[in-house]
Amino acid sequence: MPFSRSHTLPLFFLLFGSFGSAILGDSTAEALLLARLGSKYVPGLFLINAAFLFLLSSMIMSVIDRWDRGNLFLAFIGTHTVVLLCIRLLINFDLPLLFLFLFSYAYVTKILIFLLFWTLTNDLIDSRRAGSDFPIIAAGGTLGAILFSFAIPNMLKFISAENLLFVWAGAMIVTGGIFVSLKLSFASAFKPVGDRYLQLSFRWKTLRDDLNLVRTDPLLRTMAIFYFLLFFIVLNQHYSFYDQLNAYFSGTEDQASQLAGFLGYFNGVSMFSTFLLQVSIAGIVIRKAGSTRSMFILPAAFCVVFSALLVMGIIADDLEPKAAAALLFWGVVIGVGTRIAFFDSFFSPNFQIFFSSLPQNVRGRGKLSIEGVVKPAAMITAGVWLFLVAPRIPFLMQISLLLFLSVIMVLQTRRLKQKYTASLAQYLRGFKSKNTQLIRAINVSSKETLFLDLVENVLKKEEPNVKAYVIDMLATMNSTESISILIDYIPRADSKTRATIISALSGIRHPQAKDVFLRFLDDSDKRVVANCIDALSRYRSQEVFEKVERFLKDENPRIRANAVAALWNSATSERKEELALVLRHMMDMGYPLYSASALYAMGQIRFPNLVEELGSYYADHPDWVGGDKTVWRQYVLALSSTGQRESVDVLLKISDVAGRKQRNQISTAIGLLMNRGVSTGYLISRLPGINYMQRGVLLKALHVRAFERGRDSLRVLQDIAGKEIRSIYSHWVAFDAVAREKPNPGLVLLQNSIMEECINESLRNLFYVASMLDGSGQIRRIVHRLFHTNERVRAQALEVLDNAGDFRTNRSIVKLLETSDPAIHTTDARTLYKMKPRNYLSVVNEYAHCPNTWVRECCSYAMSCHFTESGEVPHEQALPQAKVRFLPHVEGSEKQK
Amino acid sequence: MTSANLTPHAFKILENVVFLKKTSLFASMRTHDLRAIAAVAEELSFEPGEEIVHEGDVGDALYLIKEGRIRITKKVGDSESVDLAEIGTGECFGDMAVFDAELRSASAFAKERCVLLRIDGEDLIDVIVECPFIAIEFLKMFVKRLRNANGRIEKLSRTEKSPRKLRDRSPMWRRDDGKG
Repeated sequence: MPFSRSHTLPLFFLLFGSFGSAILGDSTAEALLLARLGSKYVPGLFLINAAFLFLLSSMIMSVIDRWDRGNLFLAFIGTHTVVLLCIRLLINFDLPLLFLFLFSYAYVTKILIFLLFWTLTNDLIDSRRAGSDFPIIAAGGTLGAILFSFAIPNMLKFISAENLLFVWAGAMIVTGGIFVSLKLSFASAFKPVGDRYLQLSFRWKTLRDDLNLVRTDPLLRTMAIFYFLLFFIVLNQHYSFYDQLNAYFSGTEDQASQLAGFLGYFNGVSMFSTFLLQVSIAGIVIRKAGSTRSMFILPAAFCVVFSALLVMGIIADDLEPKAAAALLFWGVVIGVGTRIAFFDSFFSPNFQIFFSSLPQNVRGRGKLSIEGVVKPAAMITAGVWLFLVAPRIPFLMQISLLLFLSVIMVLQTRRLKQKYTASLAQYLRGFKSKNTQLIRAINVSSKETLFLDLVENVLKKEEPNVKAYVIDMLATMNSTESISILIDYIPRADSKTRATIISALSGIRHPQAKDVFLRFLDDSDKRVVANCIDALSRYRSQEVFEKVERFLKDENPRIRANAVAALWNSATSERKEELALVLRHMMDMGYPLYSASALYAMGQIRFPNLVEELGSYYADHPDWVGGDKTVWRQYVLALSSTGQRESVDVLLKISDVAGRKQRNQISTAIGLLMNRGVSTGYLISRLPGINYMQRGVLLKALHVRAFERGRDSLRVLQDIAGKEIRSIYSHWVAFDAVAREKPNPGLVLLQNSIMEECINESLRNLFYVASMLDGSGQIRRIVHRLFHTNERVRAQALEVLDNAGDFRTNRSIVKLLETSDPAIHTTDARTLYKMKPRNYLSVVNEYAHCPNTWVRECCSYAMSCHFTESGEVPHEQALPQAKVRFLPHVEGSEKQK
Repeated sequence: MTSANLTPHAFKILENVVFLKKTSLFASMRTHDLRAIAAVAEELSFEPGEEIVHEGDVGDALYLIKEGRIRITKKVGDSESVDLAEIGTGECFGDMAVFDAELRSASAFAKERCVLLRIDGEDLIDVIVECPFIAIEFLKMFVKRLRNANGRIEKLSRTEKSPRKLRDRSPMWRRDDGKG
């Protein structure tokens, strides 16, 4: 983020001036119109407003992303001020049409000034900061509106309603001055991005492109529908307000000043309520519920207001006309006041966040399309409705319709939240090439003669890797032609290619294949022979057994082990005992290839009590299994071949001492076990009883799979999330305790190991759980973006986390990710879990028992460094474990010195 | 669960892990991965003026300066040589030679008494094969260097462009081009 927090205050004052002057303008224009011409022209003016808004926005639409937004804003303010002064002069000529124009002009300029203001604000503030900064800035606007509103009745004591236009123009000049100071500091942020082509004239193509953008982008489309509904409701409600106002003040003396005074007080009170709402509840609600969830509040408020009006309308039928009119007047006035307060507190600041998540070149165009086209469309619809339909239907029916639309808005808000998250996730995922899939499709489906000729040619000429690829492709095709190519090619192929072809053919059932395998049992290359025996293990015939028997004493481990596998299935129990002895002997010979081959064969033949056999083998030879990658790989694969739950226990047990790569292989093996019948439900139920490293392995295997989202599974996952969150805070407290000590190499290493092996690993586990709790699959797509170097990308990833999946878990993750300051986390740990700050010796003592061997090693080193440097002997009470564990190493290191 | 037993050799390895973590080359790597590198690192001492690597030799190892300062020089003629740089504690040289087969492009001499960690190229490759995450860290480091280099090139091209723009606009230059 190139900008500091210092822009929040200038933006606060800028909105103060902008909103204050807009309210002043609104009140002046409304009072003059209602006093001189009444409310009958209002629906028509809605249509004119819509047309104005459309034309002006269309012009702005073509320049906002291509022009310096700062200069645009200044040009707008200058022009606006001049126009206001001209209108004031023309009022002297008593032109009734001027008041109609002023009403529309006040409205359109208000919209444009806000549109430009929030666009500028989005240029300065990213979507994460928006959540905390926008409410402060919005409060500036509210404060301005309150002060200006309450000032109107007082100003009217000295000047006429018409002369408020001078005050309005003056306020605009001051606002321009505030913006100049902001522009001087952050000029570069307002510069256009990408296309610098200046296009001042209105172009249908631009409009079409931008509307197309709104139509095709799921988020913008949902926003557009939401916006349309919102303004249809708002305009209907506001028309009722004007209507009631005109009726209430008709026939009073100096109606313009009376109306302007009432509107001043009304705006002042409603804005003051807004302000109170913003400084008290709104901030807390937005912070606790999140920006997008807070969007539900305005539609909910509409539902309450219209339900109340409906009830009032029913009650009013039984009242006297005067009392009924007063009830409805105040009902409507309070309803509008409530809407204003909720609109400005929960809708205005939060709606901008949806835009700030879009790329800058889309953001401005999308915003202008919604403001300049969707909103005028809503206004036109509302205008036509108020002109043609509303007068012909009863008041209660109108309110019922508005209530119905409010309910739809609630549903639309839910959709908006989903689309926002999906849109962010898609953007963060980047673009994926479609070519790979296309190539795969061609490879598998193509059986053309020409293609086969080409492949055959490649098989003859290309290098081994290309040949291996082609062999695999031909075997996968499994047609008479493709298999014939392979079989015909074997005698001419080099030994490695022969082995590859035999291996590829072993996976398919082909009538000619068995003869080929038998024929090449006498091949000069041992790999070919081993692969032939492996392939023949799938055939149960006397001929095969006779031919394979002689290989039981072969020197080559693969041949010998594969021979056991080929003979196993049809052997008697006594014979099986003999064969098992061959494999056991191979495993104990002390040569990695013998052990690995025997393990492979055991996995292939479903060796009796294989899990127990492998478990005890590991217990007897842990270094042997873990130290050789060939043995390790076959060991893990053999365990995964069983399809038994018990294999999971062994795999998890060995994961404690496994390296990162080995842990990944264990996760893959657990995945294979799931393919072979171990249920995800069982694996999820294992999560609570294992340590965080084992959980990491299991979660890695689980999180990519679909699982039945039953209540029990979800509860276990939520509990695990809570457990991981708590342990991360506990690690932070430990980290902080070590960080507060005078640094020495041992403590530095311990600190690093706590961060890397405990905090980060638990966080990784937490991401897996969060991803499993998220049914939409969005979190899985963006996890890697949470640590992106670009702050805006990171902010967007956090937004996805904030809006998808399990709210409580994700909120905690966001909180954990927002800072890496151990002191802050320690304070949070104290608040949330009553964890106390710790002594670093107690930390070392605890981590000396960590399941992670590296952390334990770092603990030993830290203690060795500590006692070597200080010459202290650890106090038994302070560090009971240390005295026993660490003293010998201290002595060792001292001797070395 | 028992604590790991630290032998003097293991103690030395961990000491080197702490040192490697402090160097810019390995700062972003996990200490556990660094342990594998530290295990294959060899500690060497050089007296002032002693030659550490010779220009034109086959580069087969990466050197990290644990203590002291190193002078990097390059031959400019048959007998003359110029000092290219002087590097100190925590800095390294020879890292690229581990991954390509080029000859040493410069010589390195100990300016004062130096202690270096030498990581043999083949050993490092073995460690990477065992622990591929280390390769990812190296890739990140090289990408970072590439980005920095791109940034510098862009900056240089901008500073080169500006005078040319001025020159193009200048009537004097136009006259020189024979068009003015």
